Amino acid sequence: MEREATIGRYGWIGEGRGRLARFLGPQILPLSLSWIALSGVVALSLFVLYMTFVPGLPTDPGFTLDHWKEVARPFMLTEVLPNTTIVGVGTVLVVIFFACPLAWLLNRTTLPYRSFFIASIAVTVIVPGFVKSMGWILLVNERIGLINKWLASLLGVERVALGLSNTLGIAWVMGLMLTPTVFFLISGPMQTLDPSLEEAAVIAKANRRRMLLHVSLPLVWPAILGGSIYIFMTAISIFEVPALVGGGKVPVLATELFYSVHPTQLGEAASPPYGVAGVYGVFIAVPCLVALYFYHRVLARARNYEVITGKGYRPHLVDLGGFKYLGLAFVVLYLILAVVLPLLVLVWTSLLPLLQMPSLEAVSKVSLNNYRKALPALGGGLMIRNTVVLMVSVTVLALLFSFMTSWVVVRTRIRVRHAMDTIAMLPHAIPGLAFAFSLYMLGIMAFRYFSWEGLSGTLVVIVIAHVLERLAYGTRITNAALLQVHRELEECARVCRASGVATMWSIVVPLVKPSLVFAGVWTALQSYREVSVALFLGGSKNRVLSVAIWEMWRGGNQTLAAAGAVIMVAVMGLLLLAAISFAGSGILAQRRSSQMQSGSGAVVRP
Amino acid sequence: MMDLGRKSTFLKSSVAGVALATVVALLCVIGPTQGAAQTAKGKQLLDELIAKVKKEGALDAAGISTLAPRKDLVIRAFLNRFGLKINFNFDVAGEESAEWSKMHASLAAGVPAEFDVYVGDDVKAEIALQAKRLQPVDNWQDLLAAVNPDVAAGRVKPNQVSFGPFEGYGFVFQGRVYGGLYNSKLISEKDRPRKLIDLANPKYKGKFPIAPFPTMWQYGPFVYPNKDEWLKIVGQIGQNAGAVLTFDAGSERVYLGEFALMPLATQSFYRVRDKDPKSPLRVWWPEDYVAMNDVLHAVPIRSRHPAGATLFTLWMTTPEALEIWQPELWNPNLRYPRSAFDNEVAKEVEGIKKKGGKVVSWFDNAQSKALLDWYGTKEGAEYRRKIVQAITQRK
Repeated sequence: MEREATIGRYGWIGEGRGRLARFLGPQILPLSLSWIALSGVVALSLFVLYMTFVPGLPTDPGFTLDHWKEVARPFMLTEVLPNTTIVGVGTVLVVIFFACPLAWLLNRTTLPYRSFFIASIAVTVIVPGFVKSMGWILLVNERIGLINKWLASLLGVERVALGLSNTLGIAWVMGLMLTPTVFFLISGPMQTLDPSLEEAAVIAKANRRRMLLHVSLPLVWPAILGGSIYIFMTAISIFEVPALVGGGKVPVLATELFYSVHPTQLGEAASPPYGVAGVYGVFIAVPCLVALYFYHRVLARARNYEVITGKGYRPHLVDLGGFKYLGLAFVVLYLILAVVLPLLVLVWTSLLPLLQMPSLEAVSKVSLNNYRKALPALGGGLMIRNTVVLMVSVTVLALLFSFMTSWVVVRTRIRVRHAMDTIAMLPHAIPGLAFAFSLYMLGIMAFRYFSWEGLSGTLVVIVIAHVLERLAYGTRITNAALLQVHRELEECARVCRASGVATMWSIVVPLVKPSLVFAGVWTALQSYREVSVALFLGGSKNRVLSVAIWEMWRGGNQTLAAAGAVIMVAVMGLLLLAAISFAGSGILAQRRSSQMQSGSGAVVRP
Repeated sequence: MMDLGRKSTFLKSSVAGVALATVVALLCVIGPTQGAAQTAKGKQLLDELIAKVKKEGALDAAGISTLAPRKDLVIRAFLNRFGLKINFNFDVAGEESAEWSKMHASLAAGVPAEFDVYVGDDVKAEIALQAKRLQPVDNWQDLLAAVNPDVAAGRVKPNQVSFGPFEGYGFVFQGRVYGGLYNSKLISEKDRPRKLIDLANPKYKGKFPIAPFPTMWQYGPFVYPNKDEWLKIVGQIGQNAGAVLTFDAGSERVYLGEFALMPLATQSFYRVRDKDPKSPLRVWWPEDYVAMNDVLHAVPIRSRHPAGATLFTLWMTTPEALEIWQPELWNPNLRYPRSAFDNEVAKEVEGIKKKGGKVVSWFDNAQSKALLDWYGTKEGAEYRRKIVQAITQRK
């Protein structure tokens, strides 16, 4: 009957389409879109691996193991890998310590000013990592640290031997920096927790602590685990924090990668050994793949975490009562450490001709000169336009491909879905510079063999690189979000003869909208601040603001770069506040509406 | 009446004086005439070049990132000087070494490089030259005279601008001199190191950051011929270093007071001095050797806009361009010093030589060039790798 209806509607084309549609099932759209993205990941990853065995440029002939020998020396085992592990694990611990309570407080409780706090947390992503690093050096440093000097005067000693130029200090700074990543990752699932489970815990006389530990926390556990894995991989790939905070004396994989590919000028005919970058990429990818294995084991028990069902879903907020002030204190503390202090350093730097410690003499030099010169020096309208186009296009495409990939991973039973999820994480495992070089070479080859310049020095190539890089984080969010939506909602839709696309768009997407909004905001911000890939793939026509600010900072114009960064933070912060307020009010409207329908406005008060 | 002997002497000296005056007069006439002839030919070549630039309609030039605040001034001055209305993209947001690397990768693959003209030090230019990836400027001497008034007036010789192996290919517009700087509030002139090797002394442990670039340390064997011994010294210096930071990042930390001094960061000193005349930073010229290099513009082969690239390359050597870039970059031009700053640094460099110190660059004599060539061998490359490991303490 269905077959005849299909043929009748479309004729012979319809018959073919109907067969194909039946063959592929309702998953044709997510399958095809996810494979487009994942094929790109696979191709670039294989290219990176290929580079590790090529002596020179990938277009040159030859085979070598020299790059592997270069990397695999005792120094790696005795210093680099242990340091990297401590930094990675330490960062995860700091992130979890802040992100989980923040996500709960700002999404599941009646804490006041939640939208403002969420926007403020997002703003910290806009502030470049090297600025935050400099900020912490000015704050905690045995010789010049402001906190050191304050402690020394408090304790009546000459000097306080407290510093951050070690693995724990690097983990601290990176943890603060990366907390928003996990915060956004688990905020969506936190918002959509079914409160009936918490209500059941209250009825069973569980106190607030037991409810949190035994009900709420296990329900968002996949998101927390996914975020932890992601943060570990991110932490071991970041270069600027260990380089600045660690003073270059704490070798980790990321710094080794940087030094290995930095052109040493003499005696080399052409490019630096990007094959070595590929080897470091493999070294970074291995622990990631191990971590992914455990993640998949959690995913296998996915149904236990489904909380958005067809029955009476109505998220509620927990009234903190007297604990509200403790909650506020915790949020404010994090914001001071991660947002206020770096921003203060940034603003202070922007007002001076040269960065210097606060003093009366320094105050006398304060002026707005840098603000007058900043935007023209950074590149003006073209730079801004490139940045906006990059952010918007990367956000839309990354969300689309992430959602489709997660749909296949979480919603289908195809055998390769776990492999697809692993592939989606690969870009995050491989250093961005290695990916960037692969794309750069592909762009050259496209020009050489097909006379096509679309991939060389254009925004398109940076968009592709960013979309593939963001796939890892995007799929963590959309995986976690889709895990919480029970299949019965889609089953109802199919019973009502809704197509796959209609089901996806009209039923599932609205339910996971908070996660998508957070993912979109985070993706846009990460694209804005990303430097290494945009720098490498940058040319005369596709420069973006992050690169201009970084190069200006690196080139000795720190104060001018700071002024540019302050302007961008201010503009992005306002846009962000508007976006989150809009999304927040939309969600609140849904909540109020559902409460009216059910006739109950109760909040959970253990 | 004069006796015959005195008369003869008088006649001889008179004849000599008249002859000399005649020669001088002739030179005064012929000299400018000769220069004018060159200028006429050069002017014609210049007009033709400008016409080609207008036809090309665009130019993409890579610039030094520190020049960002004056980027627009460079663009305007260049376009106005030649009456051009082209799409001129002067990009200062790239990293110099990375841009040259990408240039090599593109050209090796047979496609045009990203930029029409590149800026970099003499070593980068030499590597590109050896790989036959730079294109020469035809009639460069006449064109240079037509563009650069100092060359036209004879104040600067063409082979000071484009010298040695770079003749006609690379055009110097500035140099970099690698002395050190120190914070006079943290270390006195009496206590600071005298030579680079003094940094290996335990008393300086933790007092300075070091840049991870090996180039300036590679000059060491020129002055300390025992390469193994030099490597050992560099290793001790690396061990003593309190941090591994780039020149600007390290200088910033010295200015902030975290470290007392930084070797090889003189260019940062002048920039800081410009922004803060009361800065406690002082320059320090190592008494064993001070390294120098030249910074040039060069046009790669297969440039999309070769005429514009050529014109810009030549224009950047002019006094007009110097007045724009030097107050921002604060690098001296010691090949053909013209500004007060050039002369100030040139005087410092002379002072170093008078005190018996060595001022070294790769292309100034056969010995240093031979050392440079040795670094291009397998043995030299391995030695360079060990220098990097020594200064960064990565084994």
